[in-house]
Amino acid sequence: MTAQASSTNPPAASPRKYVPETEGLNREFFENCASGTLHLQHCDECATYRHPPRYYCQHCFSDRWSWEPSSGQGTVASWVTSHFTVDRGWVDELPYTTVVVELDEGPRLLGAIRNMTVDDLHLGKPVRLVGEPKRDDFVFFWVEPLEAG
Amino acid sequence: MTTNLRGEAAIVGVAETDYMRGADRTIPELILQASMAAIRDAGLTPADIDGVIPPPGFISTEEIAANLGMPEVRYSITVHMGGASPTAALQSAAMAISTGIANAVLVTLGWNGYSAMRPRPGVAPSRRKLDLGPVLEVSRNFYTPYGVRSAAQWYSLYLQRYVDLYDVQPTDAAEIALASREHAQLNDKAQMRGRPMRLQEYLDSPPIAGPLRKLDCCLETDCAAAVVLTSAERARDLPHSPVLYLGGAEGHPYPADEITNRPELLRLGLHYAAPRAFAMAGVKPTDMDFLQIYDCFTYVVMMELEALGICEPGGAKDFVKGGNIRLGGRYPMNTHGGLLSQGHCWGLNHLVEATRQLRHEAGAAQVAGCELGVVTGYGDLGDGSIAVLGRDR
Repeated sequence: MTAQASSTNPPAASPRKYVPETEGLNREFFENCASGTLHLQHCDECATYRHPPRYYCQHCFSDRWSWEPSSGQGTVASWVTSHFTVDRGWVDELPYTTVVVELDEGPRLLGAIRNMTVDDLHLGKPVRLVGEPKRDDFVFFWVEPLEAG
Repeated sequence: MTTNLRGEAAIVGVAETDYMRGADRTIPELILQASMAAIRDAGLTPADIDGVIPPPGFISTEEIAANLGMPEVRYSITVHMGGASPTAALQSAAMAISTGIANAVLVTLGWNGYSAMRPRPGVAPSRRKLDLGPVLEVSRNFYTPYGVRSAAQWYSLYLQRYVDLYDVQPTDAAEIALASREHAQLNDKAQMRGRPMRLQEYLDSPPIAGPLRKLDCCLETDCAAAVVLTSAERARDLPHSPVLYLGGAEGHPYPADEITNRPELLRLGLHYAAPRAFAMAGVKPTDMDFLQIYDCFTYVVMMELEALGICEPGGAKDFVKGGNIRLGGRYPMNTHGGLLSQGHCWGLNHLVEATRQLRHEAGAAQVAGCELGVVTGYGDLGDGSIAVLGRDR
């Protein structure tokens, strides 16, 4: 990664946000989401979805899976608002809120809040997880309200 | 063959360094000094030690043995449970001793938790790193990119649920911080000795993450500690009154490496471990004369008290009130000041304090006539460990 900031990044003086070097099954997950469409790991045997990616199904122990597209729709399951951070890439955004979305398929994922504030959140609120590809092997997720405005 | 570890092994030596913010010694020096002091406290020499359980990272068994002079190490293992590691290590030490694989086991840990864990001006980072193995892969892919990379943020993912479910107020959690601070006033080694705290100071402390204020959080500390165990039989010939390992266990939430997809978000490792430990020891939580509870954060202590079964789910906020957890109360807790007001030594300082209490050598903080006590550990993404300890009769 270079220091050249794109238009979506904070001011140039801020350190870049952490983008992981991915490998293995997690890399496979992100590569399948790189188009911008969330894909979830789906067990070919018992047809359950799972996240984070695992090599064996926790329900039927199968090692056969595929990556199925998801609408990203779900509800708010939890959130944390950070007022302090050890992460220099995020310090300029304090306080910031990270939301846990329970997707309609079942699995839960973290994302950064967008187009709403912490005051808009409540458990069960309908939201959508929106992927923003950062590289071909990493996608950053935003959490937006399902109904615009 | 031994079918129960109850009373097979005993803690015979303990030691700790000062709890510092800016140590003038390296992590290996701190660990070696605490280890040598604990071995001497046991009335042994390093040559008597043939089992070593070092921390996950920072130093190796081989370096400890070479520096202290342990010519024949027969058993070494490392527990990867973050702050639950030292107390979980006792289970392993007791197994090794009861089976005759090792005669005397050193459990040690030290770190530059203040100086090296996050960058500070003028401080050169140590090359001695914590091994975050068990939690690294999920967290770096799915938490860290969102600026969620500290324990306070991770645990808030369930602590927020806990406080909402049981209507836990800041004034409830405050009691844990205030009790620890009060006990620290009696301890020469406590960082917060001489700095008593009032409720308003707690309430005025800045928010950190989720329900956590600054004064809900433990102290970043440079320190080391060590304990030595041997068989109960041999312990009776050593200088101090033996502190028996009556029961213990480790437990892991499921899945342990990821928080948000747990079917039971509020079920910690200690929920699994505690019933096994008390069953092994043949005692009840309410038999305890004191509690040394891993207190990285006040609200985590509340969840641990409930996991122990000493109060009902949601009952911790009432349990901690009315002086119940203060010296002089029914269940004096963290009588050394804990991670919150003594310093953060991964709960190995809780084991040191429990040992001093059961030797009846705890000075001004002594719980009069105590016979039984419990120590818990908590770490990584909710792993738990427990040791039920008793004075030899």
